[in-house]
Amino acid sequence: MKYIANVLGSIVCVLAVATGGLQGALADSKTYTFVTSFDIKDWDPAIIYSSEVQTLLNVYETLVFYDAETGDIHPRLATSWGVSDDGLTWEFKLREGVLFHDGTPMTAGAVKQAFDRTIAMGQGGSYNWINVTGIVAVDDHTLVIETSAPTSIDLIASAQYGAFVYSPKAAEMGTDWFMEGNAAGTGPYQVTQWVRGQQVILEKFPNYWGGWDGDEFDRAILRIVEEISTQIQMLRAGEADLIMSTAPTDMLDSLSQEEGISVGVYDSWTSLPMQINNAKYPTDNLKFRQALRHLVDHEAIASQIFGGYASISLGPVPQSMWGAVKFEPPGYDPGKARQLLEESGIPEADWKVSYSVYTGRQEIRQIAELFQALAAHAGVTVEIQTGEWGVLWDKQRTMSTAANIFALSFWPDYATPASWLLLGYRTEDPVVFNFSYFNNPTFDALLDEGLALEASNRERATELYLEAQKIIYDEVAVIPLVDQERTVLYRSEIDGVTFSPAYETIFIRDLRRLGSV
Amino acid sequence: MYRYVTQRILLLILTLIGVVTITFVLGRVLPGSPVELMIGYRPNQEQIEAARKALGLDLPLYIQYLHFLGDAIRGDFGVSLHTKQPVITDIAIRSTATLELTVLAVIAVVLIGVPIGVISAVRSNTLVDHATRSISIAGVALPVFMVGILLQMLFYGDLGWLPLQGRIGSLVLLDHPFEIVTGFYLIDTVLAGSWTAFSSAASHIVLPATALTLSTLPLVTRTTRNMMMEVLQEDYVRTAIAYGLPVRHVHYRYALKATLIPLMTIVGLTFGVLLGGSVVVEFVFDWPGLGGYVVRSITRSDFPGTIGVTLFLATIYLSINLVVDLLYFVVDPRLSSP
Repeated sequence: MKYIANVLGSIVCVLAVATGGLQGALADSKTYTFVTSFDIKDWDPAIIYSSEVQTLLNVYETLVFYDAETGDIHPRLATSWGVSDDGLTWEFKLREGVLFHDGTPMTAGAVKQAFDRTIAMGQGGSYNWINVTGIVAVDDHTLVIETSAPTSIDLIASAQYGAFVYSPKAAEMGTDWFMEGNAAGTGPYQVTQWVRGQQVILEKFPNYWGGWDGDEFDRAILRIVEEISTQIQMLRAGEADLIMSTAPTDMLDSLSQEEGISVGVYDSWTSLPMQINNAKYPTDNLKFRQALRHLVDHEAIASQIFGGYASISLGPVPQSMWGAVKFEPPGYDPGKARQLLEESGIPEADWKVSYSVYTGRQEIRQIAELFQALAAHAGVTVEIQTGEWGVLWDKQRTMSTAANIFALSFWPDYATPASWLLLGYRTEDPVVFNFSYFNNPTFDALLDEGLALEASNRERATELYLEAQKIIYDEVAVIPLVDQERTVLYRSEIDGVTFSPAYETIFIRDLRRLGSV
Repeated sequence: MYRYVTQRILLLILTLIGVVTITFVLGRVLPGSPVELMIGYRPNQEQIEAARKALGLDLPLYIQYLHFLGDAIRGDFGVSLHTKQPVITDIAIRSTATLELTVLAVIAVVLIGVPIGVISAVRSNTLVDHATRSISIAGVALPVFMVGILLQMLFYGDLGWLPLQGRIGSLVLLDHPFEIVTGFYLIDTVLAGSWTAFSSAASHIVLPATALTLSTLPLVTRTTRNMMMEVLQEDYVRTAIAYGLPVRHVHYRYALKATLIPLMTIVGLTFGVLLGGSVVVEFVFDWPGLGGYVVRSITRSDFPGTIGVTLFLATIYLSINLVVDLLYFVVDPRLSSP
């Protein structure tokens, strides 16, 4: 009996020590831990063009900041700005007393050096600046950007890609220096450690120009955890505070019921369209394309496939962006579709379309399968072609191997509806991204005119963009499906979690841990 | 003997060239272009052309092959498209993580598997034997990822004794830095004299190493058992026991020795299997080794990464085989005599 008591006693001791040790590793109220599936691939702010901004938007800043809710542009590193009457010259007044993490002061010269380097390297989001002809540092706090055509430089300077301001010292050391996990921005947090494939550590930058209240997080840890199920286990255990990767929608409902876990649902600028090839038989026939539109069940896609975490697209541009058109989709109607198919004059034997579906996105595959089943009711055979994104993209660029329908997930480079329209539908030869093979001079002209007016007369630009979207709609260059919502899983004690479609991150400086002193 | 060794090494080189050729051809023939990966999401036509040129994809295939072969001999596999680091650096860093895990698992497999095999052979058809055989079958039948997840659920989820994933605690890595000398955290932390870092590294390796061990343990146990059963029937064993030599002595010194050659082959193969098989375990436990790397390389058409790792693993595998074959001479002197 005494022996059993001893054994039990030792087990309790071991348990206490072990769990105590584990708790000690997590419970630090001023440390914030977030997880994501991908390690940082590009550290060079001139090259960054992917999920690394989830972390690095806390390290680097842009001249101005886009408020997606109101569509306004707010000061950040620039305090005021303006454009000349001809729309070609932009002047930014820069904030004084801002330091880079390496101690160098942020001046117009530094910004010029960073932008010049980004543009010269020609990677990532640099092509947003394509119209820029010169950048001049007039004095320490005045920066002038000259363009060849009227361009909304304010929007471009607010983008999460290609517009980061970084230290001239860092710029001189170049890509190799950055790639060792170094960074030198002006943001609230600075990078202090990168362990390849494992973690990135950010620490509060004490000299941040925005100042500190004292209850922010002192330290943030990004942990790279490949599997979403592992990430969720860490969140449950309190080892992670927030998951940056998007969880499958079918898990969200049950997770939101769990105590201590919150699910944030936010607008995003990601839309999922079906690009319709307007040049390939039989989708080169307008009636045939119109028929396809009646074979899509938008309601089922939004509520069943996305579990309600998406809204029905009313146009090629998501509703959360300015200048988005509103056309109610007609709804699933095989009878109407059949009628249009018969009117098209295409023999029933040829009612066959290929549908290119890239792997890796479960929802995109399900949408295709649903469409395939519904189209069969109207006598249309859908042949789903699956493959890795790079393969399908390659095939779609050549007419002989291109599919009739191409599944896409799309988001803009900066806050303009033109981002969708320009890349997806403007006449291209050879085709790079115009998967609809859309070729319409009126559309192209409207778009160019809109782009020129964006900055000086956004109202007029909006009208032009609406008109352009009507053309795409009438010609059925695309069947918009859903605007996706961005979901974020986090521990309920984290306060201040919010997501802007313009920036793929959760800004750490805005977060607090509730119940901590 | 020297002739034999030379022959084997030449054969090894020939096999490696074969491996290089096959991976190269497959990489180029199969659809999927690394260009997209290299230049990002929305390139223009000029960027595409520039990338094709940079990757040498505009040259005729045989020239690409010769370039590739030349670089490979110099240990230059190019720059990985998904990490943007030289492949050889990636391999150097990640292979030590995989080796640490695999070596530990092999040691555990030998130390646990062989005695269990011997015991169940000696006591064949007793309860002990049946139990180990049932567990073996279960071990072979259970997929390793499931074992991994079950271990995580039990020891992290329910009991909270061991960490879920990773190689070492985040904060430990930050607050108790140690110099990377061998790349084996268990050794490096001891060299640095950091007890905190060592215990963190040790607690992180327990679950993945256990999962890996459990997946290969049955193979070794069953092989040892079957071989022992045969040897125990041999006349010399019976004679030894008849002479009244201690039974334990007979089993472990004389009988086990006769099983060494097939056993070594099995252990050598196991090592190879574990190196490749750790892919799943590494994925489940976010172990920053070659496994996750090769999976990502393949799924993202990262030719340099895929070919680099394939060659590395092939070389290790072939070298282990060679070493095992050479060890035969040490273990069995009969082989050296002409």
